[in-house]
Amino acid sequence: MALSRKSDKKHAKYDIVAAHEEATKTMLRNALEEKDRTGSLGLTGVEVLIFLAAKVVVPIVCSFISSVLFNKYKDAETKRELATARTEIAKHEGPLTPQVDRAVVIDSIVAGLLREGVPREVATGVVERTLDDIGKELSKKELSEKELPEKNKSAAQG
Amino acid sequence: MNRPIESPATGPLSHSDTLRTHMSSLLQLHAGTAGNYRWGSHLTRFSFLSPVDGHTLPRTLAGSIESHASWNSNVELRESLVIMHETVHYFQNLLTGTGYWDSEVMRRRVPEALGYARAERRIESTIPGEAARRKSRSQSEQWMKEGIGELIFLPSRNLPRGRKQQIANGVEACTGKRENPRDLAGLWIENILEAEAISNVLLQTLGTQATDRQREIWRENNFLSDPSRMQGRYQATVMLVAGIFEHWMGSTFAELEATYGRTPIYLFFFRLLALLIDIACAHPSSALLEKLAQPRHEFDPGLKLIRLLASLQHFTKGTAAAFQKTLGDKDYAEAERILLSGIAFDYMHSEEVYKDWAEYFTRQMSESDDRLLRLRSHCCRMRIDNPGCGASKSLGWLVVCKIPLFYLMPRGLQSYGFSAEHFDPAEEPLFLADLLKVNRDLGLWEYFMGSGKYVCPLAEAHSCDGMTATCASGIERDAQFPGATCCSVRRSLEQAGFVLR
Repeated sequence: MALSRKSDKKHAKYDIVAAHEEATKTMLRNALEEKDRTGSLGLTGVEVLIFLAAKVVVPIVCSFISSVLFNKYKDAETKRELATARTEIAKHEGPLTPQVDRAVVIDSIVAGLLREGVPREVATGVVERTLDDIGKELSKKELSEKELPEKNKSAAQG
Repeated sequence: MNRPIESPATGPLSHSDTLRTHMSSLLQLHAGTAGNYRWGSHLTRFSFLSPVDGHTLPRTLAGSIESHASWNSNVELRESLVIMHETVHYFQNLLTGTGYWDSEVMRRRVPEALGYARAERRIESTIPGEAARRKSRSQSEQWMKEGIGELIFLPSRNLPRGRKQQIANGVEACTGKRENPRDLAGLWIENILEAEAISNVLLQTLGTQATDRQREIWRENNFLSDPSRMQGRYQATVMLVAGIFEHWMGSTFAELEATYGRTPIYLFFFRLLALLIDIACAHPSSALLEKLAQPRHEFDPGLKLIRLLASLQHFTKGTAAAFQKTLGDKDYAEAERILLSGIAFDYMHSEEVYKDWAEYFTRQMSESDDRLLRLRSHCCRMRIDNPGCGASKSLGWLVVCKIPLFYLMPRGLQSYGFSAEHFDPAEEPLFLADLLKVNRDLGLWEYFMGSGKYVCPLAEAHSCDGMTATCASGIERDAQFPGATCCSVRRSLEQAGFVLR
């Protein structure tokens, strides 16, 4: 039983990364298309966007786990580094609350996107929005996980 | 540890027939969304995802010449690959008969097209009634059809059915087999030009010395250079020629890799492909065409390419050995002679074709001081003196042939010169004025022909004080051109008789 709960929790955290990468990729795509004067995005552009989205989402999720993990992956440059970060996120069992100052998270990740050529206003908007969305989702999950034993208890009593 | 870049384990030659086009404009050649080159513009555009800056070209050029990886991050690699890819398209415009032919068609046809657009608008604004409107539209549509028919380069989706049919007929004559025109996409001009760009990018990156980290970055981003991971237009010609290459070599790529090593065999293949495409693109001038008394479709690069491939297929053992030796010695003129000798149709050697183009440009320059015409003339003479610059369109030829390079990036216009003339304070502004004028007219041509958007090159180059945000993002209605006091484009159009409301 306990093993099953542990496994579910890992899976839930891993899903957060995947789901937000998709949402952030869409956000980046829309924002860049708005600014791009050369036409619609093709397949190759999408591949770059997938990588950029991971560069946003992975360190943000790390920042809800520990400052050590955030500092380790905030400047991840390769897909391999990002894949390692995802594995560490999946293994983590600690609290899912902000562990790093919001301004530090935003500044670090925006700096990484600027290096990739994303305009500052797009980078800032996307990072702030992703941070807010992940924060909301993680706190909701924490709340529901806290409520679950209570519900189970009342169900058992009932 | 420094080791050479090797071709990916999957190989660039896995099959896929997806042909997707996402082009906003009639004449654009893309490198994904990282950059694009508008055919005839002599100006490459880079997007945010490839934030090319003043350092990108010197860094990439040095890497290409020294055969060392020039990137230390994803973004640097993207910049390098995109600048290599788009510079090949720029070279295709400046160093091939196909590029010369189309530039000349545009030089003549674009002002005519703008004349039709002006007449159409005047009729619609002054003469009421559907009949007048229909008549004026049918005239400009007729022109459009004729004008497009004259261009060699057209995106595959705009390539007339008749041309695809002629290519299919040519293939049938070569192979005795009737193919569905759709299966011959590898012989359509857009795909041919993209294959040459891909080949030259790989020739400049495969085998370069790189650290483990640089190799990892290259592998992770190979969706910008590995045809098997790219859209159909980047693969079609590569796949077609690869099939024939395997047949010619008598072994599959897997077997060839085992015998010769993966990187050497791919380098050999892409060198051959680039050479074949360059020969196929040696289109004659209209005067030479008249002298030869041959129909123009015989010189379609797709048809010529399949004839070159058929010639390759029919090599005897001795000819094959002689041909391979010419490739090894980089004697491309002799390699072409061997290939042409196996074709029944009497194609002139590229050398003759370019000598004729050079004479044509000299005649034209006596009537015009257009700086782009002068640039084409210079490049044509350089190509005659350096036959290698056609077979391998690598960045190093910018320096050897003294070809200036211009590109637009989100921060404005960037230019590079490689001779004293390029830095002449009296000459440079005149050159830039002609460059921007050609781009203005190409943009207006597309706008008036219904592309839906006019992105002003003066705004893109940050060289207009009156620019608005709409000028850079794209004017969609005539009324959005800023007032004549600050907008030189509106002023020119109104002076030419356009009514912009």
